[in-house]
Amino acid sequence: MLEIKNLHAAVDGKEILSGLNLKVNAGEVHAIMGPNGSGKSTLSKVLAGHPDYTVSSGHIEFEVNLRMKNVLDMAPEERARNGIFLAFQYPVEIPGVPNSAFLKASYNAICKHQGAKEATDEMFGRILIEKCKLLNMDEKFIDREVNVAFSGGEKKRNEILQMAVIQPRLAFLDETDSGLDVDSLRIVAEGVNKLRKKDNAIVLVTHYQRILNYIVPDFVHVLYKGRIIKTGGKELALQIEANGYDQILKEFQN
Amino acid sequence: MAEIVKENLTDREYKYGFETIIETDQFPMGLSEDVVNKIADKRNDPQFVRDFRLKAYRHWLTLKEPTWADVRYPKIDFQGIRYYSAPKSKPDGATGPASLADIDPELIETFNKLGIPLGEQKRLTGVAIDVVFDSVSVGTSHQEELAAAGVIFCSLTEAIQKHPEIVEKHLGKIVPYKDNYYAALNSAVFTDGSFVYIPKGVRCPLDLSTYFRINAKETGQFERTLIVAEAGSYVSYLEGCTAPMRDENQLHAAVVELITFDDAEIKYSTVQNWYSGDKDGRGGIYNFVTKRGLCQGTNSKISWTQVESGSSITWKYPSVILQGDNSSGEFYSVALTNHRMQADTGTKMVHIGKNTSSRIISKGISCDQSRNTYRGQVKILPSAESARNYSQCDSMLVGDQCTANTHPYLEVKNKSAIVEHEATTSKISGDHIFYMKSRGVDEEGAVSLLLHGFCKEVFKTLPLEFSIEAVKLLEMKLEGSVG
Amino acid sequence: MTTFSTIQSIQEAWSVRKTGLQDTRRQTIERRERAINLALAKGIPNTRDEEWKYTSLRPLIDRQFDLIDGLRHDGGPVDGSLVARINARLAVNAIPIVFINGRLDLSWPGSEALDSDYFRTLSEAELEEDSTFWDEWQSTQGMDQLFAGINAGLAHEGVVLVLNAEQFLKRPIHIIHLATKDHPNAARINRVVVSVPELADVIVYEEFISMDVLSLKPRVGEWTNSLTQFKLGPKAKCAYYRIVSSPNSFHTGSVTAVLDRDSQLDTFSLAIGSRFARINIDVKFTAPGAECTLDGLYLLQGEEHVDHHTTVDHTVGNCKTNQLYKGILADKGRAVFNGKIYLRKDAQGSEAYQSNKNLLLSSEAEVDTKPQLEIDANDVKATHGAAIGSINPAELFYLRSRCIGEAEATAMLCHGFAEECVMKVKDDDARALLRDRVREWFKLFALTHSPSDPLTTKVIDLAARKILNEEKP
Repeated sequence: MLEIKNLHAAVDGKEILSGLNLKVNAGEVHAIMGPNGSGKSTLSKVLAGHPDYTVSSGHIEFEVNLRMKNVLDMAPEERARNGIFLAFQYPVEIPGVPNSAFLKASYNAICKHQGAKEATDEMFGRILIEKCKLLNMDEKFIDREVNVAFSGGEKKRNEILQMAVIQPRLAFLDETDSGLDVDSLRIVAEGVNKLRKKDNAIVLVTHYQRILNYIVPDFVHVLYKGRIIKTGGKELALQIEANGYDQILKEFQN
Repeated sequence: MAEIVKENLTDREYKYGFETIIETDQFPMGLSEDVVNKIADKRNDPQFVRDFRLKAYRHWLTLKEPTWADVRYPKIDFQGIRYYSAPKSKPDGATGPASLADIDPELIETFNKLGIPLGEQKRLTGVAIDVVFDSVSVGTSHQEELAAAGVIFCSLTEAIQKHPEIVEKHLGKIVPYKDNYYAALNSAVFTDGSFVYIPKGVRCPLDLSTYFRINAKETGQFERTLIVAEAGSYVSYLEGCTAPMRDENQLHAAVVELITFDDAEIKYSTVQNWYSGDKDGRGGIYNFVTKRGLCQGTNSKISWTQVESGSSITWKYPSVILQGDNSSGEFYSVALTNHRMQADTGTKMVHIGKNTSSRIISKGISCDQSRNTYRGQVKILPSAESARNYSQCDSMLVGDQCTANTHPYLEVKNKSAIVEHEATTSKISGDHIFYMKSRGVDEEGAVSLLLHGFCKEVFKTLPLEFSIEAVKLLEMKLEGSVG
Repeated sequence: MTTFSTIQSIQEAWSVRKTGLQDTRRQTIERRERAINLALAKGIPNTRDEEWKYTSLRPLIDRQFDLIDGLRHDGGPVDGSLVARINARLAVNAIPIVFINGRLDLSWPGSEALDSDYFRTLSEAELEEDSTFWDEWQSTQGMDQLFAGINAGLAHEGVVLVLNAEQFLKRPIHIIHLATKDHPNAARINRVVVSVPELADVIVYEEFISMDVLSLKPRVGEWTNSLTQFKLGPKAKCAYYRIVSSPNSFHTGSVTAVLDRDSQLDTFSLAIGSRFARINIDVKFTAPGAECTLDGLYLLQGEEHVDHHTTVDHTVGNCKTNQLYKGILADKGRAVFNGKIYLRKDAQGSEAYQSNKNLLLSSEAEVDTKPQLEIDANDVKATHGAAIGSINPAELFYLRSRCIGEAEATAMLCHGFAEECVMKVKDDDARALLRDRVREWFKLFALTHSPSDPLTTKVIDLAARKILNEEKP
């Protein structure tokens, strides 16, 4: 459903992605690992359409209604409405905007996009409560301002709540595990697992193997200097955890 | 400087307060067009300088003393000030001493006492120094070494004679004589100061430094400094100042002009330690100074760092005009006031070019019965697309008799700007010191810790050899007030 | 009615007013005269004056106004639909006090609930009270300011609320200053004094509206010069919500407050439409333990100019000030904020927090902000901050990545920006009312801007969706 070909992307005039290739099919779980500065977050931002990042060549295609479409032509909200979801590494605080209003605007934007009827306040309230239950989340989340005064763990859980509301076909989780204690990590991972379906895909961008104990990947990719230099199964993550990246980087350099 | 710390507190009050007995050539008190002409005669000014002075003087006559600053002092009698005083040993006329060897040994001794070795054999490594004594520059070190790099570093007097074309191009262009009352006065009667010219692409091999000393009684000091940094050049410039302890107030009204062209950078650091008067507020220098830098070129940068610990009254706002696109301005300041000192100081950042940025970090420490005011203006003009400013202004109050004011002016006329100002207030008292002592830290250590904690962002911008001196200076003053 | 060119001929206006006074006692005339003289002593300020650095009085000086006389509204019974529309705007359960073009209408439906136990008109109170009563109001901080003084001298009618000790007014008082097209050049000078003695408690709304807001018809503007004064006794409580929503009008408002021991004053100043507005709020703590909240929101479009000058004077210890002023500026809107907080020598143990945030939506908008702290006491907690910027790109991108279109996201962020301030209001009814007025501004904005204006589409979109309409899903 997602195909990235020879992607070159830069921020502030500095090239970060240098010919990245990645293919993701429905029902798959991918993990992208790599040392600091390898381009993991850039890939996430480029996929979501962050305006600070420019793509100089290559392309990203995403399957929409059984046809592959050029993602790079789409505004961020179009990508999101078509089913691409990015869970932010650093979710943004938006003072004065209640989480409920934000989620409802999101939800209705998708309804409108899909030609469905928009939810009334009452309907949407029920949907939200249901999602909170599904994810074992406190309903107090709903009334608070978007991410304002949320703890690190709460922010990440709020991302997963949004994912539950939006129900993307492709969820790109950018270091959703970083900064979480063991309990929060478990809650977040369980949330993600509950949202897994055979027709959607998940890409986990991570530093650590530990989240992969909860969300088991079909493929593990090593990103280095803006390219994927090695792809393997879940055992590759264990190998990295045990030995670090050195060995893989050496293989690559040879 | 290390031995300063070991002296006991009572002697520390002001160690630079001595007077040098030296034969001087000076004017009688008073100011008139005639005096302005005589200064021009004395210095053998070319016509453009003389005209500049006269225009400034005539304009000054039309002005009123500014009253908006938060400082209080009796009206200054401008006829009760001497506008020219120079050590006799300095040859009259155009050029300074042929070499430092020509300087009066008494003067060398004076600067030795101030910790500024002038003798060739003892001079500081890595720093070239120009010394200004009352109205004139008495010598500049390391001239050959600098000349080899193409850098001109000399007294303004010498520059006017030897490089009139550069001086004429920039003098009064950044701080016009019409700018304000004291700038007009300075433009009329300035006698000397430093001049720096860094040619294209040159990174000045040494830090440059000027040391200002007011010595003579009843004399005002009106120096003028001009630094020109051509495209791609860099210079770090330091200035220090002291004056004898006297019961009367003396006026110091300087003008500093900086200009940077494309990709050039000037870092200008000041440790201001003019005599600040005694604990009852008798005597001390009135420090009314106009300092301004113009970032004319794209990607150019001007950074002001100041440690203000002296003067009975300070009125000083080192500013940056950010004209070139992507240019940046910085202002880092620690102002410590004690006894009955009054400081009204801060900065002005005027954003004209696109993507210009400025940063203001101001730390005010008020002790005893002093008044310490931060006054800073950030102006974003409509042309300054995507300008950024961040200001942090913190005050620390020592004792319950002092005053700390914060007056930021933020004026924004472009929606793409991001301007942020934050200010906090904190106190230190004997309790803090006692707490630290009870944990085994001695008094000096405690004051030092508190000071460093409060001022670290500013201290780290000071050049190393200056930083040690400046920090010791503040520690001494603060210790006297906290203890 | 006499036409005069506002502040340049105050003396002239005074000689007219003097002849029409109900209370012709010498003490009253002299007191009013003193107020005017004090105000005019410093002369008419220009922009070289620090207090008027960013606000020129030129637009006001250049205009002629009709000095309103007569105490009561005498235009006969008011049109029923107008009454309905105005009363629909009242705060929940509030008792209305309505001025129509500066004249009090005591027969306004709802006003009959006012109790003479605490309510009198200014003209009544002026006749009944001696100079000690009035001198006290006259001597409070801020009364030396130009427009406060003009009001104290020229006010022709007003409201005097003097509660009894421990009296708790269950129903809020909602004062409405209504301008109609009958007097397009009216100079309305009304005064309100509110005395809340020990343990008493009252909520006051004061709203300045012209018919524009209700009918959206453009009209020439009147000049309103208001003076509203509060005196809080020990442990007294008062909330004051002030709303200026009269596009094309000139507004000079003064608010003074004196707070005794352990009292609490909460104020909110909402300015949503004024050709020219200068609002001075002066608060003085006179005994320890008191608290004051000073919040405000200004939403500007067109060529509107709104200037807030607030002063809080901590002359005693252990008092607390909390201030948040926010503003959204579109078109050629120009906002000025100057917030002074003094912590005097004896203010040990006090706390003062001040913040001013501005959102610029147009390249032609301008904001000049000057938060000021003056601290003479060392054992205090004081911070202030100011921020000016446009829509935060990180926030915008976050919303867009959640399917929300750019226009709607921008509108949400604008609303959120305003809401951050409104949501601080503790009283549910007041918060709902203020929210309503904010929404009104967004609607007005949409209606007065070309649909091709990129922001307009956003705002219309927003108004339609009423994103912030619901409290809970």
